[in-house]
Amino acid sequence: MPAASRSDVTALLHAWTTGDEAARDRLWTIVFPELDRLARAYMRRERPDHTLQTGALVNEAYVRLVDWKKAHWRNRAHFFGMCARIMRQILVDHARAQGYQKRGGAQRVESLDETATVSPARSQQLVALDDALQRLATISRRKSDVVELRFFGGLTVEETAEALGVSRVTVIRDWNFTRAWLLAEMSGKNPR
Amino acid sequence: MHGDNGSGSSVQVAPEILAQYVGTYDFRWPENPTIPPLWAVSMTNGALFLQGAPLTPLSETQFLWAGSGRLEFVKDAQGGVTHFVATYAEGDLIVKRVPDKQ
Repeated sequence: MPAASRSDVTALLHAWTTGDEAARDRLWTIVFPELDRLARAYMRRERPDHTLQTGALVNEAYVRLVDWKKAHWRNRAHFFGMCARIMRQILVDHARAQGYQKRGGAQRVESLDETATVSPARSQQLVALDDALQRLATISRRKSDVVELRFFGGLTVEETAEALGVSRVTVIRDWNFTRAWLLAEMSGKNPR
Repeated sequence: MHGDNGSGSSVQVAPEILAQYVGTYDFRWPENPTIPPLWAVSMTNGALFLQGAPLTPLSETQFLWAGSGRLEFVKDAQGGVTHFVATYAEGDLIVKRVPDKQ
């Protein structure tokens, strides 16, 4: 997204928060390319024959987003972080509706990386990762948010720090430790 | 942490040294210490695992957990492993070893 548009997004978010419907519509034209990019990134990690298409994911995410009329958007990074969370939830809901559940045994997950093409490669892994993230959120909301923004939202360390209001070092350390914990958790050997 | 090879690349460590780290450790999440705390270090085919995720040696005492989390095992004067130190957002986190049952 061009730098000029970044301040536009923040201004429009504030306007939308105060009830400006025109701001919401203007926001859509600016953020659509970003939502489309996010959706394509998600779908690349999914099965080639996934029954949910990229366009449908973008539209569903937007519909859910505009329902959040009372959201207090702090900044652009916060907004796109929430977009990422919504998209992940749509995919998880879709996977669960298709009957995917975390099996009793270990998940073969080899890496969690912000540029990962390996995982979550399948809906079952996505469900397992969602389960693990929900458990992590009960331990540390911030660590869960860091994974969400970095892995699912594709935000940089700096953008994640801005969205969460923490230092860059905190994001890096949370990201490093939590990735390892999630992999262990998804292997099924962490205590519950 | 000090004493790794500086490059972050893995090194070969003798199995008898790795075996010293096998055991149970009392891990308390600073954010939520009520979570059941026992974490296991195990060894399979000469490789160490923490909670089922691999520990890659960076030195005889330092390891990379699942490719990203750094930790270092610490011994007492008698050579017994007392704890490991994990790099955590709020600073180094000391995770004590639980004495083996006799």
